[in-house]
Amino acid sequence: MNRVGIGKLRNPGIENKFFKQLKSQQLLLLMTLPFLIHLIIFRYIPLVGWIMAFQDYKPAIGMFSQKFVGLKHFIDLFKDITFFMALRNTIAMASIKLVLGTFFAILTAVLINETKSRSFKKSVQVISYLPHFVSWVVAANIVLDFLSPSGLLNNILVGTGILSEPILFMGNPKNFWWIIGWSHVWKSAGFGAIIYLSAMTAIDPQLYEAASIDGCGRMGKIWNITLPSIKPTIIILLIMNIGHLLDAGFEQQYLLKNNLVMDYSEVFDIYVLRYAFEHYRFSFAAAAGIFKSTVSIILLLSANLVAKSLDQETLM
Amino acid sequence: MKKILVILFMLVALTLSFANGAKEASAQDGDKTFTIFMGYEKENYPTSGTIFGNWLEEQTGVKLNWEILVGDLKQKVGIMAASGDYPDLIAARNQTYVLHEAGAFIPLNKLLEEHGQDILKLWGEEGVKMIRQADGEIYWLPQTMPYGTKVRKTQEAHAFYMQKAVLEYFNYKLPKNVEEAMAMLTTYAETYPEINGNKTFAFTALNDGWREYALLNAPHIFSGHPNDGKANVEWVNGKWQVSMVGFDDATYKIYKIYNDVYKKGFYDVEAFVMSNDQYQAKLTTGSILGFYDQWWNFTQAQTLLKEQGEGRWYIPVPVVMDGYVEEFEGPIEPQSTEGLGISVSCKDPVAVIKYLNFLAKEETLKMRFWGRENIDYLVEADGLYTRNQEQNDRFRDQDWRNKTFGADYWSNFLMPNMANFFKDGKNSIAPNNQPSIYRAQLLPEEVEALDALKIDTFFDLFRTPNPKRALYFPAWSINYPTGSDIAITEQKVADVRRKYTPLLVTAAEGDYDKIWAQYIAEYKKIPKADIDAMMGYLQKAIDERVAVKGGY
Repeated sequence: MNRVGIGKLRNPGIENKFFKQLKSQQLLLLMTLPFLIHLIIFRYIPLVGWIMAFQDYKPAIGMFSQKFVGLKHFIDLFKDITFFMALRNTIAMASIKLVLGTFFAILTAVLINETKSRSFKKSVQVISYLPHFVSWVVAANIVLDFLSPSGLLNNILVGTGILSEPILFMGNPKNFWWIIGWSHVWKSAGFGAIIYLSAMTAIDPQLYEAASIDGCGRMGKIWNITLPSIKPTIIILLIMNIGHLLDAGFEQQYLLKNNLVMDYSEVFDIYVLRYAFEHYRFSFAAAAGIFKSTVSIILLLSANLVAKSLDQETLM
Repeated sequence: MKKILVILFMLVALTLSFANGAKEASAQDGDKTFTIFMGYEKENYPTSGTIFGNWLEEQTGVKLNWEILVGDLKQKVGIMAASGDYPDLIAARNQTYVLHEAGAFIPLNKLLEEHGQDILKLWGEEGVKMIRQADGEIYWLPQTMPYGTKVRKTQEAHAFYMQKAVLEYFNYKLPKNVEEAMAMLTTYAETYPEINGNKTFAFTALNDGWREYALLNAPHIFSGHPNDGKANVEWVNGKWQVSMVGFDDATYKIYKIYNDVYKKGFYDVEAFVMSNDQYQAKLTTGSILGFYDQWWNFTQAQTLLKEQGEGRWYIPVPVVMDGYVEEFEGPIEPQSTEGLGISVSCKDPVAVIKYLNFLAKEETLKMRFWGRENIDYLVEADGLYTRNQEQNDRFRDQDWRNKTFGADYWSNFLMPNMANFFKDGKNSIAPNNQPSIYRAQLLPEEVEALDALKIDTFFDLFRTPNPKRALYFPAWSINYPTGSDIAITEQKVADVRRKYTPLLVTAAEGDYDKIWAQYIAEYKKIPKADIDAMMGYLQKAIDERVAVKGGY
C-alpha cells in the first residue's frame, strides 16, 4: 500500500490543529519530558528483565545467553501450597488495611475539619500523622512491647480485672491479620487524612450556608455536603489502592511475624524473599513478579470499570 | 539569586579540591591500596591510625579500603554476583560458595605456590586438601583452620545454661540430665516466684529469625550430638551416618520435657514471639533461670549480669536427656567452605597474595593476638606469655581493643584456631586461653563458683570431643547447591518444624500426642524422594570429607 497516498487523504485541517496545539504547549511538553524519560528508564526498560522468568538465570552469564526453560517457574509457583497461602494472607490483610485505613482516614479528616479551635486542630493533626514518619522497624517494636504479656495493654486488662491472666496476643494466629490492620490504622490514618482534608478545603462555604438555611444540623452537613464533595477523591484513591492489593506490605509483616503465626503472616513479598531471593532463584522471583503485576493490572482495570459503570469518577 | 549561585559554585569548587587532595595523598606515598568487602557486621571506624593498622601498613606498604556489611549479606552478595562489580577481596562468609559459582574468584594454586608459602604452612597439608575444589584449585582462604594438634580451650561452644544462683541453691550439685536440670529450675522458680520484681521463668529458648536454632536444635543437641546443625551424624557400623533432625524419638522426648515446664507455668512463652533484642533485655533482668544457647549470642547480657554480682549470670552445664551421652564439644573445626577470595576484578593479585602471606606469618599472628612484646604482653623466664593487670584491663576493654589497637578487622581471615598453640607449644594463640590470663580476669563470683565445683575453667565440665568426628566435622558447613531443589526441600522441612515446635511446647494437658501426630503427618506430605535426595547429598558430602582425610 502506498503510505504517501494515505497521508494525502487525511484532513489537513486536523493535522494543522494538532501541530498548532503542540507548538502552543511546547513549554509544558518540555517540562514533562524528564518524567517521561524517567518513566521509560525505570519502568519500561527493566521489563526486558521479565525474560528471566522463562530462563534458568545464573548470575555472571549474559542475560541472553541463559538456558530457556519455558513455563517451568510458573508451574513451580502454582504447584506450591505455600504460595496460595501467601496469596490468601496478602489479599486478606490488604483488604483489611484498605477498608480500615480508608474509613479511619476519612473519619479523622471529618473530625479535624469539624473542629473549630485552630490550635487544637493543628496539634491533633500533628499528633495523628506523626506515627507515619516512624520507620516500621521502630514502630514494630512499639507494637510488640504494647502487646507483650508484660506490656501496657495486658497491664491495663489485668489491672482492671477484665482478664485474670495476661494474653500472648502475638502468639494467636487469629489475631495477626487484625494486629496488622489496626497497627496500620494507628500509623497511617492521620497521614491519609491530609489528602481528604485538602479536598474539604475546596468545598464552597456557600453550600454549608445553604444547608443551614435548609435546616441541616451538623451531622446533616457532614452527610449531605462534606462527604459527597470529597467522593471523587475517595473513589480515585480507592481505585489506585485496589491496584496495590497485592502489596499488603512487607516490613510490617516481616517485623511482626513469628513462627506461631507463620501460616497467617506470610505475605506475597515475604514468600518471594524466602523462596526466591534467599536461594538466589532470580528466575522464580521474576515469575512471581510477573504474576503479581498481571493481577494488579487486572484489579486496577476492573475497579476502574466498575466505577465507570456506576457513573463515578474514574482514573482513565 | 546571583549571590546564591556564587556560594553554590564556591561549595562545589571546595568539594572538588578536597576530592583532588585525597587522591593526590594516596598517590604520593606510593602505597598499594586494595578494596575489600567484609561480610561481617562490625562497627565502622578507620583502621589507619590504630596500633595494628599502622604497623601493618609500615610492614607491607599495603592499605586496605574496607567495606563493612550493612544489612543483609545475601542481598549484597546477590547484587555483587548479578552485576559482576567486585572489590579486590571478598569475604562473603557463608555465601562464599555462591560467589564462587558465579565465577567471582580467581584460582589461587599457582599464586600460593609462588608467593604464599606461609599461608600453606598455616593450614598444613591436610587443610590444603580440604579446601581444594573439584577441579583441584583453591579459590578462597578459609577463616580458620586447625593449627597443629595441641588444643587448650576455656570457652565452651554452647550449653544448657543455668543461673549461678540456682546451682548455689542446690549446693553446686550438678544435674545428671536435662530432666534433673529442669526439675531444679522449676523448684527454684516455685521457691522464688519473682526476681527483681519480674515473674521468674525456669526456661526459655529464643525463636527469632535465624536464631531459632536455640529452639530447633534442642533434639539434636540434647540427644548427645555436637553442633552439626543440619543433621544428626552417628557412628554406625564403622561409618559416620547422617539422619534427619526433628522427627525422631529424641524430638518427641525433649519437647515433652519443655511442655511439662510449660504446663507448670514456668516456660517463658513470650520467647516464641520475642525479638533477639527483647530476649537479651529479658535475660539482663535476671528473672530467666535457664536456657539453651550458643555462648556468643548473649555475651553482653552475661557480662552485665556478672558485673551486677548477684549470682544471676549463667554457668554452662553440659547435660543431655536421660539415656544419652553428652557430646557438646566437637573437634577443632576447619572452616573449609567459606573464606576470603581474590576477585576477578583485582589488578594485582601477586601483591595481594604477598600481603596475605605476610598476615599468615607467625610473627604477624603474635602481633594480631598478643600485640607488642613488653607493651602489650610480657614474656616470663620460661618463655610463657602473660599480661599484667594494666594490660589485661586494656585488652578487656572492647572499645580500646577495636579502635585503638585495631586488629579486629583482620580477625575474619587467615587465622589459626584460637584454641591451638603457637609453634613453641607453650603459648595459646588466644591470650584468654593462657591460664594465668584466664585466672586474672575472673570476677570474685566466678572464682567462688569454680572453687565450689572444683574445676579450673567451666570448660572442664565438658567431655573431650570424639577425635573420630574430626574426619568430617562440622556438618553445618556443607553447602547445598545454590537454588537447587535440595535447598528448597530443606526450607520446607524447616517450615514444618517452625510451625509445629511451638505448638508442641505449648500443648494443653493431654494434647501433646495429638499434635505430634499432626506434625508427623505434615512432614510425611513432603515427598520422600525429596527428603532422600537431601539426606543423600549430606551423606555424600560427609563421605567425601572422610575420603579427603584418608578414609576410616
